[in-house]
Amino acid sequence: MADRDGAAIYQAIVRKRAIVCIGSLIGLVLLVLADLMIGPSWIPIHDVVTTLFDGPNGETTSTAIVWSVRLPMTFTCIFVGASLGLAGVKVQTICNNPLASPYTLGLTSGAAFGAATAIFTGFSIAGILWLGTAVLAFIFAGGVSLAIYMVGKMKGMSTITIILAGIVMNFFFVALQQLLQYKASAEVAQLIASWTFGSLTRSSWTSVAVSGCILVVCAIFVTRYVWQLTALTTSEENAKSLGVDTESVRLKMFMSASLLTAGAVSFIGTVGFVGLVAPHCARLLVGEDQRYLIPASVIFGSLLMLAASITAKLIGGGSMIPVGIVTSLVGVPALFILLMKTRRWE
Amino acid sequence: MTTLDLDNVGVSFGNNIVLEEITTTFKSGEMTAVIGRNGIGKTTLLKAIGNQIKRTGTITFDDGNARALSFDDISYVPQMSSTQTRLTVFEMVLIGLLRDLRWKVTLEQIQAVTGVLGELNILHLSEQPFFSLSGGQRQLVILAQALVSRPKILLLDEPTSALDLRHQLIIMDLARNYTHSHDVITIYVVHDLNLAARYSDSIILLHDAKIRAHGTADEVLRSELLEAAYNVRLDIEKTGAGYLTITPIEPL
Repeated sequence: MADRDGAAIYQAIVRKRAIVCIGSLIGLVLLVLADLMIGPSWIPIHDVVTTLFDGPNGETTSTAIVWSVRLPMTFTCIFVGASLGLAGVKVQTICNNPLASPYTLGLTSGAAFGAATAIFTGFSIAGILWLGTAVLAFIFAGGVSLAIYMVGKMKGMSTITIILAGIVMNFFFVALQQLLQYKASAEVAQLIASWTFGSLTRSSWTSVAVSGCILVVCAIFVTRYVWQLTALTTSEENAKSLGVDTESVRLKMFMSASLLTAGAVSFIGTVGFVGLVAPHCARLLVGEDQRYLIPASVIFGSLLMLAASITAKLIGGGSMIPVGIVTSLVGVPALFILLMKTRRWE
Repeated sequence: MTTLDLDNVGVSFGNNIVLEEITTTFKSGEMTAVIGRNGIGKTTLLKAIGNQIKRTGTITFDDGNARALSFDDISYVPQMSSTQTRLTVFEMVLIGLLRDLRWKVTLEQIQAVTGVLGELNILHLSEQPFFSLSGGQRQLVILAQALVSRPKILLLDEPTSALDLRHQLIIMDLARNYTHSHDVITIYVVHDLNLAARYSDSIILLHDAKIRAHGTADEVLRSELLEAAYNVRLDIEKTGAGYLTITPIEPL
């Protein structure tokens, strides 16, 4: 009897979480369709669906707009949002602090500085500019992660130390980026400045492929650590007592979060708050079992980015406001509301 | 009988020797309390046994086959933390099986969790978030997390600190019953000497980084030993129920 009750209890817990994940996936599909419909020229939903089924070789105007312009932007939006959501849930878990995110820990500014350096120097790999930008973004984001990890390790991995080290890194790399802009020609300075806005207009099928591949690799990688990460949400001591090598898990998660952030930043620029707010919303709805929290954070990251993209198109009139501006404008009040409502902030 | 033998175990942090020449034996089915002044190395001893920190010396576990301790033999329960995790009680206990967990939780694992929740009379809390529990309930959940893997050695670091009197008795009764019924070795750190007197088959008194005494409550809880270890003058009496009670009088 007790066993059957226990199985029923467990099923009740996981069923609720699965429903949230499936519900948010349905929401994602709806927002994808909305994002494809909305733009300087509105495309009716029937035409969007027909164009998608007809493939990229159609000869209508809608085909050209959807397949060449909007789909790369929409998919970039999905993968960048998902990457930031995944990176966010990883760093929030390993720091055991809901204030942690790629943005607040300085990973984003490290990656942005790497990208700015590539723009400033014209750095490329095998003549491919985007590859040079992505690699430098990862090197600097990874450097920030390593620095935070080393400082944290010296101070007994106190979460306060990790967060403070991240904030210091953030200021440092923002200052370095400003120095680059100051030293650069007007044209390059303008290019670097536009990078800090986070704009989807730089999307292409290349950005879709690269950010998508990084997301898939990092998502598969993290599945090996779901229970260790779940244990880490209880406390450092508790996780260690359960046999978790907390230092090793932290380092791996920091590095994969750096890769995800670099993949996102090197194509569309700095996007704040998605990595902070998406895991937070997901946690409120599905709890801390990482088997559900990670997929939910990924989906919520995509949802937030798509919502920001749609908003940017709607309020921008004929042009598209950089999506990074929208995420920050929406993210700040959203974070404030979460801060007021959530017990963990007490 | 299963035994745990510590032979010349020592722990140092840099030049600071915290424990040295720790040689003793623990027997299955027995509760052993570790007592001593603050900072004397009680928690360090528990962590050394639990493979949580580096140590010197040898620790041998003999359950008919003498061998080094493996992580699977032990459940170590650290001091209660103020974690605000949103995990449910069921999930908190489930991660006690962490080493065997895969993506899909098996029916056997669900049965193990519900079994231990039932034993500790907290099955009704299963779906509650851990952060919403009282201190006493939290400690019961942490104990359930330690017991779900059916350890052969149970290490409890101050299991009753910050608990009210009722929950102190509940936790200690559960630990004692489990120790006796499952024939495990339980070692716990405690500051309350009255609890140590009541719930111990043996007591270890640590002093100056070494074991000052190891024996029954009557053998260890003696005024000359305790006064030297704690620098406190105290009265020791036996109640009508047969328990020793220790009353501190004044600092020496």
